[in-house]
Amino acid sequence: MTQPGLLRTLAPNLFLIELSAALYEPEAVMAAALRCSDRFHVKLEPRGDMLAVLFECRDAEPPPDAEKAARQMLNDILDSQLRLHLERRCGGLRETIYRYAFLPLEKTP
Amino acid sequence: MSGLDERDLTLLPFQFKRLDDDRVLMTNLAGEYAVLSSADFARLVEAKRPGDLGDLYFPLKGKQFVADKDLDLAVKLLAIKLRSRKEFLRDFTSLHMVVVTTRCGCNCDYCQASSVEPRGGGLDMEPRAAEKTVDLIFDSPAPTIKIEFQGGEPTLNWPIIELIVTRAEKLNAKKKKSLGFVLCTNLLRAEKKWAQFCRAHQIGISTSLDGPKDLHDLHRKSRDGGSSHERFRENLALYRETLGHESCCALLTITKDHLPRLPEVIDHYRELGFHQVFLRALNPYGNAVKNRDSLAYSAEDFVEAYCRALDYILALNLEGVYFVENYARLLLQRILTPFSTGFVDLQSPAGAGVSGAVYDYNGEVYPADEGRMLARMGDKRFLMGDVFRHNHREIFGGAVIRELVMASCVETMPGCSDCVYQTYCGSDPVRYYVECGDISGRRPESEFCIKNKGILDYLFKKLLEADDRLMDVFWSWLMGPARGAGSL
Repeated sequence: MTQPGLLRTLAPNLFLIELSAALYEPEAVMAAALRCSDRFHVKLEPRGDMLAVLFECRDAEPPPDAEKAARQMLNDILDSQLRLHLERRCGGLRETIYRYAFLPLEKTP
Repeated sequence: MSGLDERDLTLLPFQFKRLDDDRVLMTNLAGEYAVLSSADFARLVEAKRPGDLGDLYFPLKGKQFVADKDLDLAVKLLAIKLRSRKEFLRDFTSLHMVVVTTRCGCNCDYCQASSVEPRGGGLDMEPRAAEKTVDLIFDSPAPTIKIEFQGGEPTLNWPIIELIVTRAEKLNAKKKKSLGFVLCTNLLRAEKKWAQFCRAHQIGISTSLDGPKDLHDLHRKSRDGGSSHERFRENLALYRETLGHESCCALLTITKDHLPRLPEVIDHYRELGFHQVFLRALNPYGNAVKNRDSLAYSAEDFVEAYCRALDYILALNLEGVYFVENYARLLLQRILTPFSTGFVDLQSPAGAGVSGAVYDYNGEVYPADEGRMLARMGDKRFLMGDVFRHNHREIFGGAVIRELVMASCVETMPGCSDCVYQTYCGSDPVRYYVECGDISGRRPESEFCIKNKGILDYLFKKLLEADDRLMDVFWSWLMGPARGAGSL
């Protein structure tokens, strides 16, 4: 079942993505994995410099679009990683905004 | 843009979601939204100077997605807008739902209140519990107090309603709060003197209407075997005659049988003179769980039926008939205006306990009716205290409400913290607990989440069509109908 490419189909209901641990953070991968956990059981596994993501369909009979859904995960991980980058740039501001918003009026800067 | 090129660009916090291959939806803490092409979105996240954004710069700056040398001002503006959106927290608990009895003449297939036979005993609120309840309600710091009479069928314990209204008005003579009352009744029975009392004390009527007679009677079953719909119509007329036509509003509970018939239900609402409907999904409590096989449907099926029904309602409005869908109105208010909305079931932190509380007939206090329902089934996890033994601080500052608040801020919840709809949405920890045994819930399988995301996807699809006539309809729902509009 193994094939070259971004996504490897290990069995009709089992898929593997391998990501460079230098580029992708586990936090980003976990956030994306959570989003598809209604359709897949997901396992993350460090493999040397790589991070392996294994997806197994929750239904015994894999849905016809299972591979497409697993492939979509690649872009979801990319967006999750971007969210982490944005959070590092803007997260401090978010905290400042919340702090100002919840200050008593007389203490508002 | 040359002068701007010298300034540093700061990205302000935002969430995003890809709508399709070429469009990205962005939202921020203030509830502002913008849609960029994928190429423009990539340009935005890489931009270092205002000039890098070209024509996008000023629209994005105007909505506080970016700032330059005026960063401090932008941060304060966002904080002010966020403060407005969280205004409901400052008011604290203003909705107080009092269960004056659990007896009811109806035995609805989806009843979540565990109602019992009208002639049963021991399940009515006693005068002492009623007095203690009112006293506790008036200890709330909220400037606005709304007392809702619920059940069972509250009119079965009418003297206690009169006692509570009278005592609340007496206390309010000193407290000077904005005080209101709502009677939630199935309209199976009504008396002229009750309607007159409601008029004298400005009590609004909230009732339930599930559609035409066959559909209404199908699941809203009268215990005596008669048609609940026929008596509903007679008693609606009685209240309207005494209180005025607009004094009564109705709620719809959607079962599996309703899904293909929603336009018919909407027509029936119009036929009975209602100008609005709340397309409300079935809740997974009480009889609705017992009768799941005959009543329930998937969240996806609900969203599909909801969207078709909303299309029907929008078409009516475009033909000049003013008719509002209240859930869409609520969400549109959050999307199109900066104002706070007082809808207990969709707030962050959750409205349970913070915005609304339920006082059971025996004096027990719960953050939401669903918490009371669980207690009836033997699980008192959400019991906040009782009016006889605890004061306001102990009940509303206690462990239950603190845990609910901590666990129900969408800004920090897994699956919500990075959701593009976070600013418009909320959480329902009691429901999550029922769904998966955990008050934090699991978003991927949550029907609450699937439903709200589906409806927000649909509303944004409509908003992005940028049809002027459709926008006029949406704004009329927020501002009220134009003079002489439609069938009002």
